[in-house]
Amino acid sequence: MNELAVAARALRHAARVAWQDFHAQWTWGAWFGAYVPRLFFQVVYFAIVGELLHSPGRTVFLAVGNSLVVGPMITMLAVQATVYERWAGTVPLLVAAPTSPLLVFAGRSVEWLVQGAGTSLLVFAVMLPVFHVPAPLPASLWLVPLVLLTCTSTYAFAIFLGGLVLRAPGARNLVSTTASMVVMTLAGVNVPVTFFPAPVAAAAQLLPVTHGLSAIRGLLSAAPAPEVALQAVTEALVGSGWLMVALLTFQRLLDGSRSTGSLDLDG
Amino acid sequence: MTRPLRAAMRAQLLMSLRDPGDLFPLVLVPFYTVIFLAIMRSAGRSDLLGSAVLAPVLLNLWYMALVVAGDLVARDRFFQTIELLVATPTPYAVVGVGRVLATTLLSLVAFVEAWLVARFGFDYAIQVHHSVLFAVTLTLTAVATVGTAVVMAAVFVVGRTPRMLQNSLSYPIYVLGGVLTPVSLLPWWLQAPARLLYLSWAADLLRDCLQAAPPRDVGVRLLVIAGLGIASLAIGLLLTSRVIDRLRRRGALGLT
Repeated sequence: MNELAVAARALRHAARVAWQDFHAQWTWGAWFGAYVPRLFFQVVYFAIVGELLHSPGRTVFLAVGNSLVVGPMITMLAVQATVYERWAGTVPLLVAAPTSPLLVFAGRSVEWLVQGAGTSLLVFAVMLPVFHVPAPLPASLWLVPLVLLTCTSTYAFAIFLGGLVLRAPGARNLVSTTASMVVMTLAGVNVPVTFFPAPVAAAAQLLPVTHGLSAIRGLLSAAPAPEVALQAVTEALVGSGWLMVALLTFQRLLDGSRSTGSLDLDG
Repeated sequence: MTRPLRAAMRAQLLMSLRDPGDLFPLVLVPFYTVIFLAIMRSAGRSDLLGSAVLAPVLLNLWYMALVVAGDLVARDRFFQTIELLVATPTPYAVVGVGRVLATTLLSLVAFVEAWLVARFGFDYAIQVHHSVLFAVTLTLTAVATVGTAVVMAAVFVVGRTPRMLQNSLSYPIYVLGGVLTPVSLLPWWLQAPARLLYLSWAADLLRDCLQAAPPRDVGVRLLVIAGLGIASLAIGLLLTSRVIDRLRRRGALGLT
């Protein structure tokens, strides 16, 4: 079997684990009956500020930004999922296996990427009409790949963070939620990135979501296609960059745990 | 009764100070403060900056109560202390009230965080025009939060997925509680349930305390907050004792 086929098989099995993980924690009834309504309220909570400001433009800005960010927020749960492998005591076995552990870790949290993108699209479908955001068809169907792209680049970032929390499992919730809040604060979700001081705005360009959201805002405001495409490509580059960082750091982080004999320690 | 209450408060404070999970909501406060202040300032609405500082405090008050209420019985089961607690002459609900009260007091640290972010991040110092009323309202709000948290603790024990409830009860309550925007902005059919929440009355009155004009109907509004708080506390105490009795009868008290 060639290497590509082996990698695909490892990813497929890891994804099955991911799916079982999700079903162990959530039922569809609980997800759609309790969690998704909570996400609708999250968008309402921010978008209604536009009403307070008597500014339809701000209402649209807040509704679009917050409908998207629920996707990356859910995707960021992949950070915690990485630690489940450590709890299961399987990390030493994965390190001993001939396949790269990164492949397994990239696949074993993929349910949050799928859930994040799907749920964000559902929130868009419900919230855009509620807040009178124009989304003419068929152009707005481009939302599907753009949301998927933004969640995928967030997933790459989450895998990198997952590698970090493998060394400090106790910090998993802190790291995941702080990362989500940083994105929610700086990536142009509630105020334009340019609101912040120049160094902060520059750092925000390296965050996942910033360019994907910009592309989505462009799409919904009928900006020229090349402008939207440029932002989408930049988002893809940012995501690829984080994947590279994850590739470069993951093995090193695992090697660190091997050298201290703490691979299978629960901490 | 006050000695066990004080002991429960002390125990919870010690546990929370050692468990980052309990204090975790406080990490979110600076982010929310920046977001709310940035929205108001970018819109040029300096008159709403006070509300933007207040909102993360109320949000945190609710969220910390939600977190501790969800973990209250679960933690006692995990540490296998629940059977010993139930066997003591003090009602378990009193221990619960003490522990939630400690967390609620701890959650007020959020006010310092929000103030610091506003002062040094946005060069804005929140001005409370009616400070005595503000302090009274905040105290009553904290008490009402304790009552509501005790109700939630009982519900969480019966529910099979407390974590899911914890996750799902945040933003709906922030919206219905008028934490950032007044309830009057909601559609009419959401305003009625919102008015059953102590938080909506408390948020409105606290915001009014930031305005120079004297707040109206102060007595009635304080009474409503206190009334809703006392009612929820009474319901919470009753529910907790019923739930604990049910667990005892089923021999499921110490099961995790």
